[in-house]
Amino acid sequence: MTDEKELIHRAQSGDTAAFRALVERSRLHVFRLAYDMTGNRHDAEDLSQDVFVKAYRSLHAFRGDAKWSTWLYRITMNACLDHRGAASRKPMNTHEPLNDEILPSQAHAGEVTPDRAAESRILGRHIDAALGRLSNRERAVFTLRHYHDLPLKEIASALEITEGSVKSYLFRALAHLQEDLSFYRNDPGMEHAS
Amino acid sequence: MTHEECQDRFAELLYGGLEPDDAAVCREHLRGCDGCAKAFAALESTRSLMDRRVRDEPGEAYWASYWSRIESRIGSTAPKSEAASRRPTPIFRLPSAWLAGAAAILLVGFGIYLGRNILGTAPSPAEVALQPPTALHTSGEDSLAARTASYLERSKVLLQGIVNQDDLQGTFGSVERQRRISRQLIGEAHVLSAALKQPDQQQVRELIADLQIILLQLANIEVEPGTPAIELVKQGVDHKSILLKIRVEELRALSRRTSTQAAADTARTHL
Repeated sequence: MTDEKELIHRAQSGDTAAFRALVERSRLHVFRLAYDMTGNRHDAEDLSQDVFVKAYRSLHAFRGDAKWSTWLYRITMNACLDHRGAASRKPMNTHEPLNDEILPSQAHAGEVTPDRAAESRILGRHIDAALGRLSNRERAVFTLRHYHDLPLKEIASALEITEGSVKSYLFRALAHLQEDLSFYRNDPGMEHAS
Repeated sequence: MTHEECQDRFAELLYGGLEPDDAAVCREHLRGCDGCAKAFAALESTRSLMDRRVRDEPGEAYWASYWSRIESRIGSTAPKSEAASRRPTPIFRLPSAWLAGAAAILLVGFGIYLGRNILGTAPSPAEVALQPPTALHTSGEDSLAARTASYLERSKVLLQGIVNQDDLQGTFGSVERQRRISRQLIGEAHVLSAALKQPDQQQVRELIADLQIILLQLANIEVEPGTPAIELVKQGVDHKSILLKIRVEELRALSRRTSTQAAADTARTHL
C-alpha cells in the first residue's frame, strides 16, 4: 500500500494531516480490538484514543518491518493489557443473573418468550463474559484471529510470541469458550465435548 | 494420523491455518473417526456462536469529534521527525577527513559513556524491587522521604509484576522470589511506619499499612501462581486501589520536591 507508506512517511515528518488520515483509516479497527479486549464500550473509546496518541509519539520507531495495522494492533494490545492490569481484574460473572434480563436457562426452558433482540443481547453478554474469563493471551489470540481475521503469523508478530504459541493459545481459547458456552450450543458434539 | 495429532490441528483446521496436505490428512481422519468428528463439530459450533456477538459501537457523534480529541492531546508533542533523525548524515558525508575522525572519536566516547553510565546500570524490575532501602547521606526529613519513595517504588514494581502476571508466565519471576521480596518489604515497613510520625504523613502511613496486609498475604502464599491464592492478592491490590494510592503519593512527593526546589531557587535569586 504505497499510499499508506506515503502517509506514514509524511506523518513521521510531522504532517498531522497525514496522521489524521491514518487515524481515520484505522480508528474503527482499533476501537473494535479495544472493545474485544475489554468488553466495555467506554473503556474501548478511551483506549482507542490513547493508542493513537501513543502511536503518534512513537512514530519515529515505526520502521515498516511490520505492517502499519500490525504495529497498531501491538500498541492496542499493550494498552489493553496495561488497562486490564491496572483496572479491575474481576472477570464478568455469568453465574449471576444479568440484572433485568432473562437467564438463558429460562429462555430455553420456555418459561418466558424473549424477543430476538433481548435474546441476542443476553447471548452477547455471555459471550463477552466468556471472553473475559480467558487469559490475556488466549483472549488476544482468539480476538485477533476470529474477529480481526489476522493470519497466525501476524498475530505472532503483534503479540511478539512464536507461531506455535499462537496455535496453542488459539486452541485453548476455543476449548474454554466451548466449555463456557456449552448451554447455547445444540450440536452433535456437545455430549462428546462435555 | 492419531486422534491426538488430529485434535492438535483442530484450531488451525477451523481457521484455515493448515497446509493443504495436512488439512487433507486431517479431514480424512475426521471422515473415519466418529469421536474426532464430533469434537470438531462442537468446536465449529462454538466458532459460529462467537459470530453472533454484536458490539455496542459508538455513533456518528463520537466519531465526528474523534480527531479533535486526539489532536488536542498530541498538539503539545510533535513526533520525532525522520528529518531530525537524519540530520547527522550530511556531516558524515563531508569529505573532510579530520571532521570524520572527530565524529568517530565523539561517537566512540559517547558509546563508552552510554555503556558505563546508562546501559550498564539499568536495573531490571526484579532488581528494582530488590534494591536495598535508599541510604542517603542526608539526614532527617530528606532521608526519610527518600526511603519512603524507594519503598513505594519497589512495592509498586513488585505488585505490578503480580497484577500483570498471566498464564503462569509472569515476567517478574517465581512466586518464591516475590515472597522473598515481600518479606523484605514487610520488615522495612515496620521501621518506616515508626519514623513517619508527622500529621501530614498520615496518608503515607495508611498506605504502608495497606501494603503490609497485601505483602503479608503474598509472603505467606504456599501455592503456584494463577491459583485462587494469588488471585486473592490481585483482588486485594484492586480492592484497596494500592497502585493508584502509590501513584498519588508519588505525585504528592514530587509536588513537595518541586515546591522545595522553587523556594530554594527563590532564595538564591534574592541572595
